[in-house]
Amino acid sequence: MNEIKIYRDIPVPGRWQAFWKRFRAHKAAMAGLIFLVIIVLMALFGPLIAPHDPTQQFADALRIPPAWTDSGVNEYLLGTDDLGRDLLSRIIYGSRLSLGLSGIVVIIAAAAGILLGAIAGLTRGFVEFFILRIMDVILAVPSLLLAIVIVAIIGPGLPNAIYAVAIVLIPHFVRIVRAAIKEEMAKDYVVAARLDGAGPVRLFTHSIFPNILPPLIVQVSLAFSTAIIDIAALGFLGLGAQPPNPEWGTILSQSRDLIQLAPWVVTTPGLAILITVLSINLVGDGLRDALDPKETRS
Amino acid sequence: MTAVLAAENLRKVFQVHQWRKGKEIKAIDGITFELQQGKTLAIVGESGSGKSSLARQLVGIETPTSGKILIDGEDIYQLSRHEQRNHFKKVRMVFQNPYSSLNPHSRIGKTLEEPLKINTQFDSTKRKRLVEEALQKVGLRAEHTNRFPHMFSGGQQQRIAIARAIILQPKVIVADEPLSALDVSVQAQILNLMMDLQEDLQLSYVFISHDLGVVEHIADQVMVMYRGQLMEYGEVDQIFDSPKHPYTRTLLTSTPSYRHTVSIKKRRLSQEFRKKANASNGCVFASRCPYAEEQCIEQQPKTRNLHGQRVTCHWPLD
Amino acid sequence: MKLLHIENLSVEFETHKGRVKVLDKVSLRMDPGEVLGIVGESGSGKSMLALAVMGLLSPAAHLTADFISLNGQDLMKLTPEQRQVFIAQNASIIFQEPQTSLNPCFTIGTQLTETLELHGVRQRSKQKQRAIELLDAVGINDPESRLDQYPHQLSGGMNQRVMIAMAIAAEPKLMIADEPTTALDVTIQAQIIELLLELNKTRNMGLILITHDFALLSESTQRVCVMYSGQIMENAETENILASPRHPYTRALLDSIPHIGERHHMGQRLFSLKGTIPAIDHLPVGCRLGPRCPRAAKECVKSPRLDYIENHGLVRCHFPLPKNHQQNKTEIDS
Repeated sequence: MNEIKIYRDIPVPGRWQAFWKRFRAHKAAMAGLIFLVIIVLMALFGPLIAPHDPTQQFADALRIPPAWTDSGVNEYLLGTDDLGRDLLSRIIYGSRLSLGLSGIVVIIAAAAGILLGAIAGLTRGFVEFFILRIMDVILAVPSLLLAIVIVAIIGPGLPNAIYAVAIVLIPHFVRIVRAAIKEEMAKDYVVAARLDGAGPVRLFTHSIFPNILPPLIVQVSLAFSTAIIDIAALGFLGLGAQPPNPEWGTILSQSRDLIQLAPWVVTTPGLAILITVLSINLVGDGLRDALDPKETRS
Repeated sequence: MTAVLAAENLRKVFQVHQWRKGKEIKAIDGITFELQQGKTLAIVGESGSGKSSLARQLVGIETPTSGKILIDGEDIYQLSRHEQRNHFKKVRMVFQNPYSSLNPHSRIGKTLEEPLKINTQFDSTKRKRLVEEALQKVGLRAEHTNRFPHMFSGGQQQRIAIARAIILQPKVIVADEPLSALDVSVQAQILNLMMDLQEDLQLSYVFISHDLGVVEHIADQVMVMYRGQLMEYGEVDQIFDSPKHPYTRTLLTSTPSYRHTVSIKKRRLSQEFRKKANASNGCVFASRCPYAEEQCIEQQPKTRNLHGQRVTCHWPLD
Repeated sequence: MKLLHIENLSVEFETHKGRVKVLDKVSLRMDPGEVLGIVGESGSGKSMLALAVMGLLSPAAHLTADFISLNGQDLMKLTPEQRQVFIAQNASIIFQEPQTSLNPCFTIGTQLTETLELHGVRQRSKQKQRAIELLDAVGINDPESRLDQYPHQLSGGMNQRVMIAMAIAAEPKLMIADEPTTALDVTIQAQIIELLLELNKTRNMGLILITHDFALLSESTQRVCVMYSGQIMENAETENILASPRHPYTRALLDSIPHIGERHHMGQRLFSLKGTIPAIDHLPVGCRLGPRCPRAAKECVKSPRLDYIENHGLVRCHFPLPKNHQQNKTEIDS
């Protein structure tokens, strides 16, 4: 049999290596990633870093401004609120809540969305129709409004807020997964896998899923930032986390009367939300570019 | 000797509307053939001739509306589901576009192992060995197993696709335009490889192509299809030396290298005649046939057998 | 005067791996009314050459040439705007897939009249009349009703005819057909080629036929230019090339196509070049065919020049085949 290798071997990077190379070239995304890693580390090691207990009230240190101002105290780096609680500690603990809750929300939404999307994508007729129309109904209402309605029905509180936001996020996953499956199903390699004898489940896990992963990852990053904002918003409206929980939205809402007296108490949690969401979005943009299927082809 | 693969009066009809009954499209209409072990049946036709649809019926991706498919003499739609699967394992497919027929995110070792995992009880060492053997048979090397499809050239990808087809030791390979996505110099490599494998493994091919030169080179029997119907079927010598159907001749005279091998009447059909022919239930080729007569519009021709050469025409040519 | 005269045309692209030369010093001459065939496999640069002549290269491409003279005018001396206008008046191009070259949102008529307007036919009634004439000229029957149809309502062959109608709207001196029939059925292919040759004769329009199909060129062209990896390998009269190609690559291409009467039961195999076309950014040293060439020798690590061979044409090879060289032997392993 003839040997067909004549040209010297060109080392070609693997799938994830190539992806990482492209992602690294995206400067804004890298900046976002660095911030995100810092925030995640902060959340993970919160109790070790935080100088104080987030709920401990220092009666002798009410409304102390941040340390870099004239009347600031080094002990309270970002200052204290009107009850004398250390803001830095509250933000750090709050990051645990915000990121953790959003993580749970995204996991729930993605799992449900992928499952429903896979069912809709692999079936035809009534089941697909039914799933899609329900998703349309959810999509028809603005997401935050719907979350508020859901919480209003099942009652305020953290667990309910999680369910509400998760439900709101499901349709996007369903749509993406279904569209991607429909697209992949028409391709020859799926037909070839069917000819190999693969059943629908094996087809999905072995052939289709790895190929729809890129759009899914991008969707996860988008859902993550939406989840953070929505949870904070519910907290702000008093429908999500309840005080004295140091959830960012809750801190914001509690201190909004202080905007003139102690502006730092309002700005810090706001900034925390902004930076987190911004960095996640930047990372998402980078992911989208780096995972672009057109480029992964050759 | 029983044929390894045969079809009897195979028909596939598609409903134009999914929900309600309405217009029907006959993708395949009454196809019959027999393929012996180690032989090649080439199917020729233009787009819309139903040749790809026929391929899909033969490997079991689609189920025919009526008619029989016989693998090793067994009518597979009379068998239990399990038996059916066992029989379809003997008929494997090679696609037109090699890149799209390989899972882009799966190393080729894994892609090749997949049919063994699903269909056999072999342990992982034996599977690995079989994968490496298959790769060697198609002219690739064992080290290639952990690469991804995009790291290969088109010709190599088609070799991999062929390796995947032969790994279950099939009797028949259905190849749907396996060369048309490849460069000329690579086409010859793949064609040679397929012929080598045929000799070594006693494979039978259903070889679908629009390239008459390639068909003449590889085929034992040739079937010419038009709009889902069999126009002419015979040994390669019969089809290329004495084509009897006007459509076969049209195909030959349209191909530059065969232009002077056969003669055909030059005649432009009137607009009116073509309209009538299209609307009628007569011969499907009547609207383009330079030999067409009134009878061709009125009556659908029967397939007749002239010394083993089957022709669907009222007026077969000499 | 030559219709087209190109001297040392090179096209380079800037990639993240550095500069990549997709066309390497291509020179071509073509007489008015001539039919020239360009053969090559993918990556040979044949389409790039067409785009370069038409001024359709992407902005990322760097084009250099001693001159590209079209109908007596050196395109290199014109400003980009002048060049565009001049090319539009003198040359046109049709592509492989008519379906994608036509805008699906507009009728055939709209697209044709738009082309006519660009070429200075302003009056509405004149436009329509001319559009009908053009459709008639390319063999579309009932042209008047076709004007109101959309591309998807016509077959592939019809759409290619419409493309040709648009291409001849300006009465160009040169038409480039880049694989005009590859996407079409064989019977339609023959009709389209016939139409192109007829237009070539009746309008004295030079025709460049770009293809990978040798058989197609044998009947229709006067000269054939064989390209490989961005270089011209052989450039000679069609008769000479078909009767006795002097470049090993041309020989191999011809031998890798099945010949009439070579049938399976005779146990024959086709000749095939080993390996695949090198990636344009990983070209071998010296002769670009070198690693695949059955006749390669030590000297082939030096780049061969495109030299004239008496009574034949131009060949780029250190060891050109003798005249009437035997066909490559088909090798059977078993």
